[in-house]
Amino acid sequence: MLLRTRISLIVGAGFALVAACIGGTAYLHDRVAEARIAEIAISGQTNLWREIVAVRTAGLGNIAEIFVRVPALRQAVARGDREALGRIVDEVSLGLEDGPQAQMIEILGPDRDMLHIANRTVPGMILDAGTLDRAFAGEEVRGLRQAEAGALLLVEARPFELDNGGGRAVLVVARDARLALERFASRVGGSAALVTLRGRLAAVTNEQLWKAAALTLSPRRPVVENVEIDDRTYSVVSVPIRDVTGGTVGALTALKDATESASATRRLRQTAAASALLLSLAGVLGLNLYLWRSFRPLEAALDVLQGLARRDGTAAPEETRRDEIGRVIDAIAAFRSNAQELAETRRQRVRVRLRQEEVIRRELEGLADSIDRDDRDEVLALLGPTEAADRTVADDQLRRLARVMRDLSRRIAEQHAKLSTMVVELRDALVNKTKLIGIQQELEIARQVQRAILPKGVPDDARIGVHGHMTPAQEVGGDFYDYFMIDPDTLGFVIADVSGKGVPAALFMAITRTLLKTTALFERSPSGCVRRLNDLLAAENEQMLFVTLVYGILDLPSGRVTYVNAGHNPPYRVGTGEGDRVTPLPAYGGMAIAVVEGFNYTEQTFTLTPGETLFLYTDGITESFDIDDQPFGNERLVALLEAGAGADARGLTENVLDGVHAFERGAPQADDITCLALRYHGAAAGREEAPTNRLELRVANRLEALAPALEQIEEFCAENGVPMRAIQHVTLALDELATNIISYAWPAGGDHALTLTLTYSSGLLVAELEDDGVPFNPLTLETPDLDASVEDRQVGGLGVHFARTLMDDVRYEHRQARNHSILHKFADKDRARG
Amino acid sequence: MADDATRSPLVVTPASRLDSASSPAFEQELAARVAEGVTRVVLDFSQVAYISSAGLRVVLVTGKKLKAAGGTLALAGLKDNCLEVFEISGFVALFPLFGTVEEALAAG
Repeated sequence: MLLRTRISLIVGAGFALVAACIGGTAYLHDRVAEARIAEIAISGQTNLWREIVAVRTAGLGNIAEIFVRVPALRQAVARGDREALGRIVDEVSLGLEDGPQAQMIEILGPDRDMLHIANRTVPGMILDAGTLDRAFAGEEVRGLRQAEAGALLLVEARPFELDNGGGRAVLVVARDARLALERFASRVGGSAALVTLRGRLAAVTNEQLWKAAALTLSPRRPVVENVEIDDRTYSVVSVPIRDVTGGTVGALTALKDATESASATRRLRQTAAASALLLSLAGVLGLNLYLWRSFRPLEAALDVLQGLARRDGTAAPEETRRDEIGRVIDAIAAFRSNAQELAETRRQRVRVRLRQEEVIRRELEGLADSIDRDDRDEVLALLGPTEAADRTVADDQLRRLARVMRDLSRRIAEQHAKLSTMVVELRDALVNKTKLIGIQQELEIARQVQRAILPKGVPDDARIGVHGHMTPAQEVGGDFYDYFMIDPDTLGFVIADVSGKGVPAALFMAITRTLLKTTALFERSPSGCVRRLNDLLAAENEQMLFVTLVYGILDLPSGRVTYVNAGHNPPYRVGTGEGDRVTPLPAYGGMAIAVVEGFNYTEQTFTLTPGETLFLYTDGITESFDIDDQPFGNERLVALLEAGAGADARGLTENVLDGVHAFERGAPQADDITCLALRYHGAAAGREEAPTNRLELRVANRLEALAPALEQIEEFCAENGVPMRAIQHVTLALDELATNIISYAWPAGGDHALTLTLTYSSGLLVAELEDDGVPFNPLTLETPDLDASVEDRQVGGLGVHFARTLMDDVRYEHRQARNHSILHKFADKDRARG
Repeated sequence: MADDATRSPLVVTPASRLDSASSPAFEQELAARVAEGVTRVVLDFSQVAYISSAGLRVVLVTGKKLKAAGGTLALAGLKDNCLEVFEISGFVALFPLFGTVEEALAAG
C-alpha cells in the first residue's frame, strides 16, 4: 500500500475519531441540556399549575368571603336553619359572577354537620376528615382535591366564626379542576390532561389527541419526552400533582406540538454531520492530492534510482525543489551523475582496453609479418578472427593475446638466433660482395678501356668506308677489331678472337692488339707481321691462350687486299649491289696465333672492285643460339649479307647485328659478337688530298708571333674535324703555356724558338710544347683563389689553371735539356659534354 | 670630375682578340681613361672572339682601380667561349655581367 494512501487513511481515521469525540460530547451536552430543560419544563409546569391552582382557589376564596360576610348566612348557620341557609346561599349564589351553578358549596356547622350542600356532583363529602380538621382548626385550606376516582376538584375550605361565640363553621367551595386545566392548556399553548394515580383520565382538553398519543406514563414521577403522533412531534411534560392533603393524586400532562423545533434540530444535526463528513472527506482527499503532488518528484527520482539499479541512466531527475524531497532528488541526481560518470569511465576503460587490444593485436600482426611465412600463419591462426564483433569476452582476448605474444616472442627469439647466424654469414658475404663490387667496378673500367682502344673514328679517306662493332658477352671480351692507316694509301685492318672469355681473354686481346699495331706500322707484309706477332705471343704464353685472326692491308689506289687468315672464320666478300653474290675468302692461311713459335703464315691476295665490301666477323655471330638452341649458322649470315649488299659499311653491319639479335629471341649471348665491314669506294673517290693529321710549328720568342701560330693550329684542327669547343680549348691552353715560355724561358733574351707539335687520331688531340729555355715546370704553379674578391684577387696564375681545367691531361717532362709540356684532349668527350 | 657619378658609364669596346699580344695596348687605353677620372665603365665584349688570361688580367686590374676609386666595372655581351673563360677563372662572381650594353647601362 502506498505511503500516501496510508497517511490518508490514518488522517481519515483521525478525522473520524475527532468527529466521534465531538459528536459524543455534543450528545452528552445535549442530554445535560435536555435534562435541564426537562427540569425547567417540569418546574415551570409545576409552578404554572400551582399558580393557576392558587389563582383559581383564590377566586374560590373570594366567593367564600362573599358568603361568609353575609350575616344572615352566619345566623342561619348558627341556628342551624337549613332552610334559611339554603335560601340565603341561593340568593348569594345568584349574585356570583359565574352564576350559581359554577361551584359546589358545602357548609358545615360547628358540629361538623352538613348544613348545606349545593351543586355537589360528587357522591361523598368534598373534603376528607383530615382536611376538615385543619379547616375547623381555623386554617383556610386551598388546593386540589380528588373527591372520588377520576374527579379532581379545586377546593376552598373557609372557616368562619359564628356570631356571639357560636362556634366555628366551615364553608367549602369547590369547582371542577377542568377549568383550571383548560386555563393551563391555554397558557402552555397545547393540550393538557390530568391523570389519576391509577391512570384514569381525570380531565383532558383534547381527548382525540390524547387518545392518539396513547401515553403510558408514570404519574408519580416527572417525565419529559417527545412522542411522534401522525408525523408530528409533540413534547410531553408530565408532573405529579398533590391535593390539599399533600399526597400525590395524579399527574398533569401537557402535550405541545414541537414539530418545528424538533425538525429544525434534526436538520441542524444532519447538516452538521453531513458537513463534518464532507469536510473530512475533502480533507482526506486534499491531503492525498497534496501528498501525491509532493511525492510525485520523489517517485520520479525513485524511477531514476531503479533505472540506475538496472544500469539504465536515461531517466533524469526533475528540477530541484527546496525541501527534503528536493534534497533527496539532488542526492539522487548527484548519485546518478556519479553513476553515469562511473559508467562512462567504465565504458571508456573498456574502449581503451579494446583499443589497446586492437593496437597490441595489430602490432602482433605486424610483428608476425616480420617472421617466416609458416610461423606467421600459425601466429595469425592463434590470433583468431580479426573482427571485433567476434571477440566477445575481453578477458579471453587478453589471455589469447598474451598467449600469442609468448608464442611470438619464442618464434622471434628462434628467428633472431637464425638471423644472427645469417648475419654472420651475410657479413662475410658482404665483405665478399664489396670485393666483388670492387672487381666489378674494375671490370667496368676495363670495359670502358677496352671500348676506348677500339677505333671509333673513320679513316678520313673517301676511298674507303669502314664500320666495326663489338658486343662482349661479359664485361670485357676477347674479340677485337682494328683499322688504321699505315701510310696515306694503305689501310691496315684486323679482326681477332682470343680463346676464352672475360678478363684473361681481354688482357690477351689488349696485348695482341698493341703488338699487332706496333708491328704493322713497320712490317708492311701481313704474313711477316703475323709471324712476328705469333713469335712474340707464343714465346711467353703460359696460359696457353691463343688467338685466331684475319689481318690484312688494303691498297687504296688499287683496291688490292693482302691478308693472312690465322685460323679464323673466313671473311665474306660482298658484291656491289643488293642480291649480289656473297663469297667467302679461302680459309687457310695458317694456324691460330700464339700456339706454335716460328710458324710461317701464308699470305693471300685479291682485289676489291669499287663498291665491293669485305665483311669480317667472329664465330660469336654464326654460333649464336636462339632460345631453342638452334645455331645461327653461315647460311643466315650469307642471306643477311646478300640482303644488305647495297648498303654502306655501317648499314651492312647493323643489318647483320639486327638479324642476329632478332634470331636470338632473348636468348643470352654466349660469345662476343664482333664484325667489321670495309667498303671500297674505288681510287677515284680519293682524288682530293687527304688531310694530314700532324702539325709541327716553330714559333719565335715574341708574343706577336703567337697569334699566327694559333691560327694555323685552329685551321689544322678544323681540317681534322675536331669540334669547335675542343679547338677553342686547345688554342687557349697552348696560348697560355706558350705565352709563359716566351715571357720567362729566356730571361737573357735573344732569338729563340719553341716547337709546337699537334697530332690528331681517333678523337685524341695531342699537343706538345718544347723549348730549350730555363727548366720550369708550369704545373708547380698554384691555382689562384677563384673565390677571392676583386681587391684580393691576384693578377697572375690563371693561364696554367686554364690549361689544367680545359685539357684532359697535362704533363711536363724535362729531358735532353729541353722542357716538354704534353697536352691531351679528347675531342669527342667534349662534344658529348657540350 | 665632380659630376661623374651622374653621367652614363663609359662604354669601351675591345677588339676581337684579347691575348698577350694585344692586351697591353688595351690596358694602356683603359688606364688612361681611369686616370682621366672615369669611374664607371662598361666593357662591351660583343666583338671579342678570343680572350686569354692576359685579357682577363687587364679586366681585373681595371676593375681593381675602379673599385678603389669608388666606381664600377660591368661586362656586357660575352660570347659563349669568353663566358666559359670567365667561369673557369671565377671572374663571373667578380663583375656584373649583362647580355647587352643597353642592359648594362639600364642597370646603371
